[in-house]
Amino acid sequence: MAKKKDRVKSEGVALDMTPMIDVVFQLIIFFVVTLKQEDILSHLDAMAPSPDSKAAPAEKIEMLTIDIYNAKAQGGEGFLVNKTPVSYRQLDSEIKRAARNNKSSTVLLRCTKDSPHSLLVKALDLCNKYGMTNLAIFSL
Amino acid sequence: MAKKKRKTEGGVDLDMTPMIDVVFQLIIFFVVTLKTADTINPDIELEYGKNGPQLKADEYKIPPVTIEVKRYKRPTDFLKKAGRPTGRIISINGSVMSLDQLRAMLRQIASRRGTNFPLLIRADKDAPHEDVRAVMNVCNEIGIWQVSFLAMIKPGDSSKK
Repeated sequence: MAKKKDRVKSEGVALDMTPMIDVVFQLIIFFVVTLKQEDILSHLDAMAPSPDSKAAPAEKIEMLTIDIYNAKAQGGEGFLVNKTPVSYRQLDSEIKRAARNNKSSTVLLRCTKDSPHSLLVKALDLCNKYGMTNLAIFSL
Repeated sequence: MAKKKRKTEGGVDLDMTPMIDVVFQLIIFFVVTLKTADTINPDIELEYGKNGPQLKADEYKIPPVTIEVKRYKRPTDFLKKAGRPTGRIISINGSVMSLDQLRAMLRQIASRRGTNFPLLIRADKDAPHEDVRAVMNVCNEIGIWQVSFLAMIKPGDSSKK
């Protein structure tokens, strides 16, 4: 009697770790395989939200015109400010200066058909950096 | 002696529990991973735009529509699967469509939800402006005015390809 009781008790207490280790390994593999870090994205507004644009006041218009073209075909970095070619860094300071004057002045972005989208995004990104919100994108 | 016999019997018995555990885990794994595959065009590489406002999951009250634009120069797996030639490829959630189909689809969404929904353009960095403009023109036509371009603040693992 004493023997039987002893055996049962000791068997019940001993935990079999094998299935738990199996499951833990599976979970580790699951997370290693599925953990694909997503890109952190930003959104750059292309069209200004103006459902009541007819009521927009026609004040004196200050405008910064940026031309964007295909740099691969024509050389340079793909940006023109007032028809002079500028580098990305010069464009940064041009927009900075315009923003210091008046943040609500219009930035006119004129893109040629074959200009890569990346340059437009770069220019929009700079406008966002300095808080220029009045954007107009034109296509040539 | 009788005790010993019991022990050997236990060794022969196959315990099915871990195997069933593992099989269930595998089933869950495949159910979870299969659902998320192929929801975007995997070939699109976004330009960096670290100064833009970060896109968050709960940013919009109305769920946005994302349009993918890319100009293909050589065929890829995605293109072969869609059965399309190289050139301008417009897609929504990885399903390729023509400009007319896009127009019809956006019209349909607009008639159901109004034109007051955000639209995100996920254009490849090398996509020529005319392709993006074509999509923007369709939006203009229908009267969708909340149009934004997507850019990348920080690349995840998926962009290393």
